Amino acid sequence: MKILKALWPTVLLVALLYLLGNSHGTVPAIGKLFNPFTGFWQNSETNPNKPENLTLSGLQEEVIIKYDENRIPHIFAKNDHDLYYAQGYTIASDRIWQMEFYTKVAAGRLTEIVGERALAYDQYNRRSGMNLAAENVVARLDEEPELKKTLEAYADGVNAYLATLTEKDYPLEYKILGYKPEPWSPKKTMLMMMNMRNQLNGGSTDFRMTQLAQKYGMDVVNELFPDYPVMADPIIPEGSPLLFEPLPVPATPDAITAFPEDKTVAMSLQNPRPEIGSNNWAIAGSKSATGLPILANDPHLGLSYPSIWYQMQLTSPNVNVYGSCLPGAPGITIGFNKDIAWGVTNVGPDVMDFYKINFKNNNRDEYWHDNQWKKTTKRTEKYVLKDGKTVIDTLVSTHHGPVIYFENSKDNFNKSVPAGYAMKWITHDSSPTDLNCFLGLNAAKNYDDYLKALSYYVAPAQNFVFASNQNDIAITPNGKLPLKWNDQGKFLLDGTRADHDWQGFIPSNQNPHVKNPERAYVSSANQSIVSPKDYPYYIDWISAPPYRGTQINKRLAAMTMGTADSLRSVQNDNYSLAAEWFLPPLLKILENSPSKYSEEIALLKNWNYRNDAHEKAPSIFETWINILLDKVWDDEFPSNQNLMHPSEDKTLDLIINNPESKWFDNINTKDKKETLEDIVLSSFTQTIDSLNKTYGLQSDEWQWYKVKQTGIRHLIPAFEAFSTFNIENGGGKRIVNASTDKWGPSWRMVVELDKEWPKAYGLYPGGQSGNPGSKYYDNLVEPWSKGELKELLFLKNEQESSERIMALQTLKPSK
Amino acid sequence: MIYLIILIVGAIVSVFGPWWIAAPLAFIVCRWKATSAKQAFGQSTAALLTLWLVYISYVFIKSDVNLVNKMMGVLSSSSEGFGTPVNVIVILAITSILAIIIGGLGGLAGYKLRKI
Repeated sequence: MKILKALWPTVLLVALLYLLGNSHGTVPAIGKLFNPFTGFWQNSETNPNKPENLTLSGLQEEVIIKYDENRIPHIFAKNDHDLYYAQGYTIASDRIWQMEFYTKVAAGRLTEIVGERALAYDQYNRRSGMNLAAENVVARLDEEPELKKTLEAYADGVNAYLATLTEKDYPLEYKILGYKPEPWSPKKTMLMMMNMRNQLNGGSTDFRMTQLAQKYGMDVVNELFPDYPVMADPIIPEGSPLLFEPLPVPATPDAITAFPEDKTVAMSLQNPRPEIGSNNWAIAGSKSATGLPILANDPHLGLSYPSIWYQMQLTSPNVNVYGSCLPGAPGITIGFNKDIAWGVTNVGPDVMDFYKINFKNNNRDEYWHDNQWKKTTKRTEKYVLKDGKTVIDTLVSTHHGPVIYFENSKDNFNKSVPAGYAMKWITHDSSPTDLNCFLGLNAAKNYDDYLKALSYYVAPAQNFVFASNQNDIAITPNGKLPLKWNDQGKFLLDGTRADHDWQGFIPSNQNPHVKNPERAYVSSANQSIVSPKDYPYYIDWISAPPYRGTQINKRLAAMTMGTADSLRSVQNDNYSLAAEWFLPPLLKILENSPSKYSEEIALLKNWNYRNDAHEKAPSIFETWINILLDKVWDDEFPSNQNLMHPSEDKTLDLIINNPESKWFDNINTKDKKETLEDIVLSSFTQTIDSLNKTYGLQSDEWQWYKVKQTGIRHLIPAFEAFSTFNIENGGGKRIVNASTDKWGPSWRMVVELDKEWPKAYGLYPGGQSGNPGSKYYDNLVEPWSKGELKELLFLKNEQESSERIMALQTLKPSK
Repeated sequence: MIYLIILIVGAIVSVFGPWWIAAPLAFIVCRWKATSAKQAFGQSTAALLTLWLVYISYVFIKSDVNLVNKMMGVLSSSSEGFGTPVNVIVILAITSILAIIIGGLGGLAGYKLRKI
């Protein structure tokens, strides 16, 4: 009894320490998190400067890092090994959690962090083969010894940073979610690249198009979903000459699709994911005030914290380059050096196809292909849940690729993947040369170097825009593109037929390309790549609506004596071509009948078609156009039945040239034939009702930025407090300044090429630090929302001084 | 005396030690020095509270970012928690409870075991 009396506080203490030291479900380890010496207070940045001197093992020589006022590192190394080592070290010190998070997503390992609710997502990612592809690329790295060394140096740098950490130094996200960083490796860099391939080339409309063909037949498909848009202003100017002798295109088989048997999958299926848009262009010297080219790029991605991009300058005896890089990958992804500048936008070619597999029996050991039974390969995947439990999954692969789902289920993560089909995806390509493209561009001196660098690139295919101080401009939709018969993979394919297989690739030097065109500018905005008249190969049928591309081309065509500021103003162009095209015919119909909404109609009539932040008209127009498009198409092509709507330019074409079209009739009303006029009037009433309901009667609450609601969200959606909402900016998804609720220009850059030394401007929505407790987490959001650019500090060499350098860091090799 | 020892030694070991390091410290100091349960519990709690509150105040004042609001937002699944004043009070309350457990209970446990 006496012992018990003496012992109870100790027992209670140990029990409480145990409870408070571990996380329980979604409740973090409170003891660790709230202890001021180990928990979140340690992440509240009291000194923004990095340590002045560090001694690191693995470095060969001393590295100097200069930090400017936005805490952008300018790295000066004496050899390439140390350069990429220091890049890895530096970026890890700001972004390690984010880098690792992407790799966990691509590897299908989120369950380890958040538990079972991520299982369906993980299973999709794992089954679609990104983890396996990353392993296959790494296995072939010996073919590229220089690249291998670069990747290893980078990984060593990241790991040198991790070695300096104790638990209290971990980024906040690790502390809240209760896990620890793992060592970095070249495989993790490849997983990071796989994540980009998935983000940018991971979509497919094959299932939707097949269902559509099944329901309405090929004539309707060809009429409403043509391979080349009605209103096209392609990346390769129409009429550009073909500069190569094309390979023979494979013959189109007698049957081009394999319909799914199960037609009952149309339950609660999600819409296609939002389009990822980006802009880039370059004007020739003849259009610029300096007489030399100016290049601009703004890739649009999901706006997220920590920022997608990380700015840095990388200098060694072999390279001096500035730009933005992807955390986890060595080198600069979008940037410039003394002689050249380059940028990228997404091509979005059809590089993901699905093959219907005929298995011999339920063991799925063999499948029928090319008149014989062929063996499948099986692989066991293990998912570890947060509580330590495991889930086992068997992955079945054919020569096409993995079979993602065997049954259609509402629990499947990706509803656009049909059950019983194998996925053929460029992401599975194990060629290890991808990063040589960017490393080559980093050191490129001229157009020939640019072409050589591009030849290494696999995926995700990008429109690489280029400008040099030798007065060359060029653009190349580039990547490893399958050589297809026309429309191959527009629909689901037949996995038993050899003629449905991919039959080789378009040679890299036969990718679409234009250099120094007569019009003195090159540009891309995810629009259609090239007219079928000017190019022999099929790349894809679908592309972004023509608004951004056409508007950019209009601005650039009219430009003379252009400067960096003129290009900045194009990046921030809020002009709505959609409004210019749609509104006149729609307003004409609206004004023909009496309306109680004269005030709202007047707002539209007096609008200058600019989606500026404080305008009210864009709120009406953007709401209206969405409702109108839905009313025209959703009766025949219900999006909740996994069907898709025809393009906006096709709809406009009908409104203007075929207003009596049968497609305007609502097939759900049996006794009535609706007309375009009915749709216009009812959709407008519905628009105003909807705005009234959500934002009250017309007032300043209708201002576009309040309706559009652009926000930058933390990668963990539940961490709202680490996010920024209600950003006061203009733009829209049909606008060159493509800021929407969750998407937008993730990095804006403008480079004026120069014989002596280039001048460049840029910024991204966020900041260099990934730490929500640092002022450099979101310091660039405000200037970004105003459309400002910061002059980028590009130092000539280690000796050049600048008053913008705030801090110095020296990394020394340990003896 | 107990107060001072835990305050000074606590400040040093907290920089390097794990989150629970002050508990064994209070335990040892009270097993060695404390003369009553009340004293062990009270002075250990007070020492740890002093150390933590001074440190928190320093960090809070020196930081450019109000991480208290962000943390409370994350913990309450909202964008800003309950507004700065309430957030600060909640954080201080949790911190104090933690100081009572680690410091107070640690000291009391040490004192109670001094005869064994």
